[in-house]
Amino acid sequence: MNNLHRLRLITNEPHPQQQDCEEQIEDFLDHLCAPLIGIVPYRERLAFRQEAHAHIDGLIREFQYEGQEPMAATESALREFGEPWQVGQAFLQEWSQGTPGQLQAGQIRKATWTAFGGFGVASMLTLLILESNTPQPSDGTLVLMAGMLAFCSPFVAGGFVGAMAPVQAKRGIGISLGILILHSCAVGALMPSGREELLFALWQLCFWLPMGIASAALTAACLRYVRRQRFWLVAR
Amino acid sequence: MPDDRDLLRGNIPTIILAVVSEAPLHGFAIAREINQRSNNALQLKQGTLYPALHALERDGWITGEWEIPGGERPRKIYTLTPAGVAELERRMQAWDKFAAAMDSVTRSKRREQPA
Repeated sequence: MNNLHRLRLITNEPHPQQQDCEEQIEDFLDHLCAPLIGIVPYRERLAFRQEAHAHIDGLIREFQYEGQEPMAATESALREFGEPWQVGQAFLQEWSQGTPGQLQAGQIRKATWTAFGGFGVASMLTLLILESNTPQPSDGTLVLMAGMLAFCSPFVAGGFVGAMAPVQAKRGIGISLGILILHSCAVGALMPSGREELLFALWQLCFWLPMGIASAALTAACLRYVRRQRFWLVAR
Repeated sequence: MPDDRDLLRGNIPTIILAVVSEAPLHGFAIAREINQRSNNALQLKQGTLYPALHALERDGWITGEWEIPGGERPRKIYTLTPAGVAELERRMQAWDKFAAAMDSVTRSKRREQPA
């Protein structure tokens, strides 16, 4: 390590390349935290970012002490820290698995109400059509509408939940559809000729539930991907 | 078949608990300590420590306190909790048992092989 370099380390004199290094670190930290945006609360994201920044500073100091120039030391430090997107994803995964109880309850509540809104409307409309169409099917258009609703609803409603409440979407859909299935069963049991309603409850269980959850997961993943791409565009 | 990294990844929480059990440390110091103690044999991307630290803190095995050293960036100092001490003890026992079993299996296999 040359003397000028040592002197800069001791006196904390800003190196000409320091600005570039700082920008590179900030860019890295932006990518590190990008997977957390919109899911992890700002305060926790900031804490993670600060910890990572302090860690990277420590690594840079170490590489500089070993004789590397600031830019090279920064690059080595970032490499040593790991691929930002992967580390961010790993953090997100850990965070999602055990978010604090109160926060988790809030997320479940939000997902449940959102799912209840989407699936509830579809379920009520389908039941109304079924009820108005019994005991004898009269209107072919209504039957077609009921069929369309029964088929398309889990995709639309699941996508809606995935977009509005990506965290805990699965649980939210499970809870709300559980209630709606019970409701359909109850309507079927109470109606004089409730065979269609009972079949609809079975359809909700076997088709709406898995397709709704899959749609929600797919939408959430797509939105994460779009956010990532958008972020990369802005960051560059 | 798992390589060294897979083995290491599964044991990062235990390693962190063991390192923090001796003194409260921040993330960077934990990484340094792991490198030094293992003579750089345990190579991990240092960022992967933070998800593990978060999980350990969430489970109540370590606590983090922010410290602002003079002229430096704020950093979080991690300390082992009493629950963490018990957890580390449990993990160490499990590890010892596993290592002993692996050792006896692999050594007996080596003994069976002709020289």
